[in-house]
Amino acid sequence: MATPHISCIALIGKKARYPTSLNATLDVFSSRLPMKTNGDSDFGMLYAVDDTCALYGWLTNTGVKIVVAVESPVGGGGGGGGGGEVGVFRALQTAYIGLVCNPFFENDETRPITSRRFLAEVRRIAETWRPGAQAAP
Amino acid sequence: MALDSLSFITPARLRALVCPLGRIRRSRFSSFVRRLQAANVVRLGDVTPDSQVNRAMFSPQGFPDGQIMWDLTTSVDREHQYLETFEMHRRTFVVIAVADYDEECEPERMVAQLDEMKSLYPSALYHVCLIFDAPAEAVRHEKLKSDGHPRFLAVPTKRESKLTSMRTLMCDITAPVLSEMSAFAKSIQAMPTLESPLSPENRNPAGTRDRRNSVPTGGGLTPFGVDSMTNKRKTMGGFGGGSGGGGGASSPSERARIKGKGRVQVAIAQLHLIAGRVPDAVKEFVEGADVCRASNDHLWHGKALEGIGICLVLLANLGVQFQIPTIPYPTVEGSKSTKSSPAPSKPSTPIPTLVNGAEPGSPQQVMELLPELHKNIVNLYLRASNFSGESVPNISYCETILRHAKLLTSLYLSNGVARDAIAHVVFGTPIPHKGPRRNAPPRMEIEETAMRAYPQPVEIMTVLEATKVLSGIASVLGIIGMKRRKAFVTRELVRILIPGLIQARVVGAAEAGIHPAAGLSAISGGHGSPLDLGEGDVESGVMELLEELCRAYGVLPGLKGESFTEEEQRPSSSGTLMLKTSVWTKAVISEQEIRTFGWPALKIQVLRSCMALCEALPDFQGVLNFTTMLLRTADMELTREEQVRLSTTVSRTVGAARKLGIPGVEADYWDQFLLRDIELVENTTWRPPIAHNRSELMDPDMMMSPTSAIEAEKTPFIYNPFRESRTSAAEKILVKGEPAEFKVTLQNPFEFEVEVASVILDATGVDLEAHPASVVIAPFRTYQVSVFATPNGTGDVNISGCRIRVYGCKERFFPILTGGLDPRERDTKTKRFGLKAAEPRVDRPLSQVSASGRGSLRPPPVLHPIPKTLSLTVVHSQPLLVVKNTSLSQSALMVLEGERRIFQITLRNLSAVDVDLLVFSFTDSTTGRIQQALAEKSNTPAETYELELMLEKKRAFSWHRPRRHPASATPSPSPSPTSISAVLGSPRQPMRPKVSTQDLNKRKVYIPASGEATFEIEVLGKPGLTHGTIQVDYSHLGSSRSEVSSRFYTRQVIYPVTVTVNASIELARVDFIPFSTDFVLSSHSPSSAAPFKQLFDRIGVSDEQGEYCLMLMDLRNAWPQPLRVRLALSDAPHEPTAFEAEDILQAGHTSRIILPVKRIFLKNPYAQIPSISASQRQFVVSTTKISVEQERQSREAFWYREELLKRIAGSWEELGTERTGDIELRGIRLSPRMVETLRVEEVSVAVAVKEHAGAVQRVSPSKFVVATDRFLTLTATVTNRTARPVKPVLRLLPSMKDLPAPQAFELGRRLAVNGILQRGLDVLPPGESVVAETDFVVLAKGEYEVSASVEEVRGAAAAEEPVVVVETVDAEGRPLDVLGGRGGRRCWVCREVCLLVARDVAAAE
Repeated sequence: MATPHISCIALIGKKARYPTSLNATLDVFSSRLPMKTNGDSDFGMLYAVDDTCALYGWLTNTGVKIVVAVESPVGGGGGGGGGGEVGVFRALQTAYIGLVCNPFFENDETRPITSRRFLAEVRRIAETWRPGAQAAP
Repeated sequence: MALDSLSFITPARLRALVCPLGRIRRSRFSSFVRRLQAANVVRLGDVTPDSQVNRAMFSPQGFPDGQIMWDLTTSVDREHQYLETFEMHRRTFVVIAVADYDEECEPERMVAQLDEMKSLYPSALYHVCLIFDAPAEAVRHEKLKSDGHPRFLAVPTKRESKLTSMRTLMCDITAPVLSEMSAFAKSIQAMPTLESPLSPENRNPAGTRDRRNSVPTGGGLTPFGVDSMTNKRKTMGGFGGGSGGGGGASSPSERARIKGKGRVQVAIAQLHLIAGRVPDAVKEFVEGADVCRASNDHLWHGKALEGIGICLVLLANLGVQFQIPTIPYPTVEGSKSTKSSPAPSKPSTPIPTLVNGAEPGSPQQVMELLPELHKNIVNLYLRASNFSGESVPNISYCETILRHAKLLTSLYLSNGVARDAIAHVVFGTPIPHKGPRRNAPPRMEIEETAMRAYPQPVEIMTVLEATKVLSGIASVLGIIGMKRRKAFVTRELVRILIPGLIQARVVGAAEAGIHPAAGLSAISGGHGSPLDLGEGDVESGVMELLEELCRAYGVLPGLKGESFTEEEQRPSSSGTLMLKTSVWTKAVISEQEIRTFGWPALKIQVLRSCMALCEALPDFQGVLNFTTMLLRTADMELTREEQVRLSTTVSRTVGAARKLGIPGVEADYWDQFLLRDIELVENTTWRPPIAHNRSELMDPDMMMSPTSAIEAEKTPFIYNPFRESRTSAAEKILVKGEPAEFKVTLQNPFEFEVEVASVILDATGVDLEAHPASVVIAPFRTYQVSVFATPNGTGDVNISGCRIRVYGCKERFFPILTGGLDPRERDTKTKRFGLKAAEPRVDRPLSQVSASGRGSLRPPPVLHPIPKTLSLTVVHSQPLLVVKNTSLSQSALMVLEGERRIFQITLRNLSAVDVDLLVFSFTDSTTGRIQQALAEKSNTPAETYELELMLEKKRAFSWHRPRRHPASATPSPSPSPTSISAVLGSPRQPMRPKVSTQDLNKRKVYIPASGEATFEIEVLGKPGLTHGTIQVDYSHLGSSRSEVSSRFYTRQVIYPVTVTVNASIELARVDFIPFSTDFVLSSHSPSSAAPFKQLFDRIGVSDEQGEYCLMLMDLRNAWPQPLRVRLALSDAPHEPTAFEAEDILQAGHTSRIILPVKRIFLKNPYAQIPSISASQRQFVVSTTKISVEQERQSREAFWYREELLKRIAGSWEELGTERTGDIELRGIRLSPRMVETLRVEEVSVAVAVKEHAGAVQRVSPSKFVVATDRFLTLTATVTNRTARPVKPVLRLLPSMKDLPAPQAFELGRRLAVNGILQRGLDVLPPGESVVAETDFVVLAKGEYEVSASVEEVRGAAAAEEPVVVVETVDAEGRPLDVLGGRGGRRCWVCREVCLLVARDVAAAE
């Protein structure tokens, strides 16, 4: 419990399925969207749920939103401060692209993604992330 | 309306409690309160100042421009009494009792009640009673007068009051309050100090009531969720209470005194603020803040700063010139936030303008100052929380933050225009909308500010406080458009409300003596329950709040019915492009789209919370709404148990509401596809009528053959490309006044039973009296229910659906959706997502350019499902006939061949409508076979004619009608038994009572309403007849036939009849033999000639015997009884019978009957054989090749036979019984030889010897006895019976009798002829005859024969006649007959050879 860790990863499609608290982050997406210039998909910290949990957002160029909830114990140093998450988001987006590129994948955005491989990949990303770990590309 | 309790200027409001006094009705009370609240702002200049000097502290004259804002509430907040000294605006200063003059107003009682009120609310400064709708003198009663301030005030009625009267009244109330406030302020000033609200001293007296969780035990504020706040809090944690130090070292008691002075000053400042003396308030606040800062009294310091901010806003709103004072900001070492470092040495010095450009004291400047101020206030409060007993109460803290957030929100709404924002904050003036949002101040900033007020955890507050705070946050978030965040907060609010409400119910139920666990159902019984809501108690805002919450999660409330109706009448001005999509289709599709939006699990969760809240309230309608919404949005995701539970919830709620007598608690049914189909059921008894065109309404004479007329129209073309196809479905017809049955298919895809209370057809057009039906549909199936409806008018009716009432649900219209929703048809491109998907879709109008251009090439796709409509035609009331009885037993009869029998059929009219059109038509078992035979192509025309004749003319059944037109009928001879027509056509039976002569234009009633009529049907025994049907088409036209408009309708009654036909007289054989005249019919003729004599005696001619021939007929009796046979013969058609033969035939016997038939002349025996049915075939390709000669022969045979049949008629009669019938003579077949016998030639030659006395004796028509050696004359008479002139050549051929040919013509020495035997005659005109005479002398005795022949000379004829051009097509377009042109040489021979018997002596002797 000494280091912050990712406690939740959510991919939000266009057709909106969101867990209750993640729902609220969409307001932040929509309010910050006009300010975003081209190519900048990192939304930084969206919302601090409480002392120990903060939500970070990422918007892909196809409108899919990735929200990562980072849970850090009190006094752990404020969740990594922005740089650490970019790697996670890139990794997640790569995984998602891999999923969507699968011709057999039926992209029904109203249902949760059930691909086992993708879920395993997401789990791996979440488990291996550490605040300092900066993904190389 | 109530004021916004979280408005920024709430601390500047004067709080008053308005409560009822005496008897007063609720509606009257609330209307009075509204009148008061409308005048809640009082300008100080209008208030009369108090004359007493010691009470002039808050004299209105001190700041005439100031305003007092009354906060007139109807509730008192006892929970926060402990805050009243800290926040003066929470205090209830005035109690305004409201009495109704219309109710009883006894002065004594009112005084007593007011005194009671005084003791109830002792903390209030002034108690006054307003008597509404009272005349001015009502308060002049002695007992109502008081020495001090007036206690009773009269308020005129709304009609009598002037514009300012309410305002004057408020001024009247204000004046005493202000003077009483002076006293109050004095008492505060006298106190050494004021306790902080959470200090132990203050809590104890106030904490009499059990306040749950109202105060955090830890004394400090629980950390708030904002990250930056966390940081600040942490940094603040470093310095303790020793950070002040500004006040210098002095003794603790001195410090406490100074601290107390500061607190009192802040409280006084608050009173000034409430009293409208804003400049004084500013002054007091600033001074108080200075003192507080000096004494490190953070809590009161913050409160003072807050007061300064409010004062500045109020001043800015009043528009007076003022200087922004130097704000005594707290001195914080290391604080990054404070911009201006205040100088403690010169506290009241005005500082120069902070904002460049803006004048001092402008709203803009104030607004820019406030965030900074707010930040300091928050910091001060946080700092205060480090001291035990000195921390800020949670509710105050949250309200402070929310007030500021609201201010920012107003600024956001007014696009940063400070003046508008402040006006909105102070008075709630609507903000003019100006273009797009500038996002200033940024929404994120507002949101962060508001969220700071979010209590963490919620449980630190009471339910009431939490509700207030959370709803305040939600309101701010909603205004700035953060709907999902707002939903998040609202959901939390709902979550805490439910246990609170249930708790309240438990308490209430315990008081009422009901077990709290009884839940909703218990409430129905408990009339004494504190939660027993009246009609007006139900908070209307709750539903909106919950719906708003649901919408944010993608649960859309039910579509409003109004929204589609206006859509329907949309003009299609853009042209034909507007594809008509039904509104119901749109509704279904939009609902489906909504369903795909959002996360189902989340939606279910939210809806369940809403349901729980409504149940806790209890709000029956809300429970129903959310239950149905849950069923509607997530029927598939729910388990079976859950579905059943939801359905029981619905029925339970409806039942509870009904028991309570709350009307109109009904749900909206959740399945759009409830109604799957409606079909019209054909009734066997009430057979639907058949539509006919007017042209089918024939005149009555043709009604004998209606079947052929009702059949498809005749056309020579097999395929006509221009004919309108009649492939459309058969028109469905209802009859006015007759119930029709419909089969309605309902579906239930749920796991519980659906109880359909009523199903009523919904029809437009004609008034359709629908009889409701009800049904219970078992789970997971479709059900068909019969619904009856009776049309009450005529015309077209469209059934587009049903009004269906499911138990517990509203009666609603359901369209007929036979098809399902095809997801492929829908728009696959998601254009709207997120919150926008939930917003109502805006139809973009098609632009003219795109409509006329490319757009027209591709019409928009047809959207499914398309609701079905059932189009029916209602016709006038139609009669209904049934066959009552017939004269037949078991509807069977036996006839002999050729026999005609009549039977009666009685029809009964069951309806109340006359039958004025009645058509009989019949089918029988023979027609089928004949038609089959007719269809064969190998028939010769003669055969076809025969078959058609049997089909058309000799019908097995016919309506035996009385004569309709005796006057105009063909003048038939008197009905003598020998008349042919009597034998053939006319009935033998006595005439039935005659129906009076009816014209076509007159209406004739066949069967009156609910009457009976008997009709007679004639059956003709035909071979092959076994059964048949009588079909009666009848109708009620209501007018004469000529007036019938385009269409009419008939019904049918069909009555089958079984017929047995037995053979009677059979025609076995027919022959014709020439009748030679070569015998003498004289009285002395031999006895062997007697039969002939008898024969011709009957005829009565002896001269013209040569014109006759004999017909031999073999008739056989096939019937086991003896039959009398009678044959009648006439000389020409339509002439009286000339000859009759009669015979009795024993069973099985054959008899030959000889008939003298007059030979027949036909002008054109080679005419084409006609076709009766007139069904001209387009091309008749003769399959059998026959020669012209054969064709000629067959035609001759045909025409002579026809002629013969016209003259001969036969009948039979059973001996001893009345059975009679006709002999079928059409079996006669003529061979060429017979024809030859029968016919009379066109040109005939007859040879005779001219009478010469003494030399010639005529012994028979063609036998002459002549004397030899005498000059005699031979006459040859040539007769032309044709219609054209004939140029004949006559040839005489004398010969010897009884000699072989060569010797017979050797007449050189036996006969001398004067002239030549062969000579041409003159042209013989038609119909004339010429006699050519030739002299001759018989030289030798013996027997001679003279024959003659005539040959037509063509040359002569050709000269006169035009040459016949051979054409292939005649004038009428028909192919020319093969026999049209005349054949080759034509030659006629004399029929009887002239026989000369030459004797030497004169025969005459």
